[in-house]
Amino acid sequence: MTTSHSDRNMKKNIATAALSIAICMAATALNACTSVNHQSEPGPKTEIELLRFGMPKYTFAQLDKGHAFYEIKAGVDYRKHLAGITKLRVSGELADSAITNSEWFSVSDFESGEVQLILNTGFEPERCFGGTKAVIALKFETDSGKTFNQDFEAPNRCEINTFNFISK
Amino acid sequence: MKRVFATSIALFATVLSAIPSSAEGIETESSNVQTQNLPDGGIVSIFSLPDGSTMTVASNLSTDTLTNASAAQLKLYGIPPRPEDPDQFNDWLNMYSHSNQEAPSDSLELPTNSEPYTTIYSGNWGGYLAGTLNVVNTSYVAVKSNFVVPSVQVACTASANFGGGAWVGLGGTNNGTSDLVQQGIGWCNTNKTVNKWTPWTEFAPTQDPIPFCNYTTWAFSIGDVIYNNLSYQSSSDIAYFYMQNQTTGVAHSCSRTAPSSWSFNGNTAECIMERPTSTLLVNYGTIRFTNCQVELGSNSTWYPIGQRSSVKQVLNGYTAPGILYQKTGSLGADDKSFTMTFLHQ
Repeated sequence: MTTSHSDRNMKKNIATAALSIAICMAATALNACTSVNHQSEPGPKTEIELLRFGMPKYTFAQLDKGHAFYEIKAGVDYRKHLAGITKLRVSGELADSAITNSEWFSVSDFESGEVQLILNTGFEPERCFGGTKAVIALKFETDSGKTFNQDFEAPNRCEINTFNFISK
Repeated sequence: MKRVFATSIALFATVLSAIPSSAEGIETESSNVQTQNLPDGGIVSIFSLPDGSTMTVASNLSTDTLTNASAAQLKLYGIPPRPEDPDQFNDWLNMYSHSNQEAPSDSLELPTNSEPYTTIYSGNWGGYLAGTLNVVNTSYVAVKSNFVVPSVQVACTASANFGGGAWVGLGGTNNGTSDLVQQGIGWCNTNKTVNKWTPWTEFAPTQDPIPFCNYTTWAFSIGDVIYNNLSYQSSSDIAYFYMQNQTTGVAHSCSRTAPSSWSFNGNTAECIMERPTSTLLVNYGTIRFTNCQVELGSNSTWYPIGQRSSVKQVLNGYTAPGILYQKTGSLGADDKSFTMTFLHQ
């Protein structure tokens, strides 16, 4: 019985995908790459922590895709950097230049929990290799004109293909 | 395997048999089997095959019957004409008096393809879908199904990294586009505070699942029969959700406008048991889907999902390295029921 080139490629891809998923799951299980840990520590890309992202909550998704959402709280630098600022909006940008904005929300209402913000992501479970495609560059705009930056790195290191912010 | 034993008193009694699929992939199809009992103990069985042809099997024919039957009778028995040559006659008589010494099965058993549907593998879905993958169209505008709430043996806790969900949906099969609208029941996904299956709706992946029509305390007990009906109106971009617990009689419904950055794509309609990506599948034992039907937008007609030529059996797992998280059972004879079975977390 012969195996076609495309069959071999498909098998190779499937095996790679399965390995990737196993790595992702193991990493998640070990809590080795959570956003909280990464972003609460100073790093070259994350100079401030305005927002702190909760653990991913995985839920239902399209065929062969992943879907995770993250509850967001005020980070350690939130109060310090946003003192005197009333309104805030966060936008995110993927490596492919897709930009998504949250709604404007009250700085104090968010800190008190009256306004809730969720980062919702769709990801590629077959591509969990980290790198820029697993990172959303966040930019904060304020009503005072000040801007801030922070990176969100997907804790599962999977490539993010879509995301949006949900206000509740 | 169920058999129907036809005892015909009159000549050519008609026997109908409908046999469910077996696990081995051999199906006994409904067919007409006509049987004729001959005076000397012989039996003639005439099977009507699905393609319209017939097969005649004469069994237990005596040498007297073979020797004295008319040409018309031999034809009726499915026996070739009696040779004139004495040597050929002896061979002929020897052949047909010794063949078929037992009656054949009295129900037509046709081997069928063990994979009668197009089968695809998925890392997170198991079940059935109808439609064409990776295209944009609005073929399907509604889907409905019942399922029975399964039991779960472990506790759902805030830190639990396992879950599962049974749902019906439209779309979600176009290369990851944000176009899946769905409703169903989930365990330990949306609500980690109760050890029960809870209902939800979702525009995936643009939104996280939310409690069904905001009935936040609605939850189900093991064995409850849940009816789902989801439709989408493209002209207004509104999804209509309806769910009824047929065991208790409680029903809820609502409509939701589609969120921005989400677009409807009814290229497929599906009845799915999902192992959410990056979670472990909760051991739910089995869950039975019934009445899985899809509505074609072009003629506003409902079809059992198995009656769509585009139906695909979705196996939750990978061919390599050979992981299968769930078993997707065969579609029933009604083309709209199947059972999902937990295999691996």
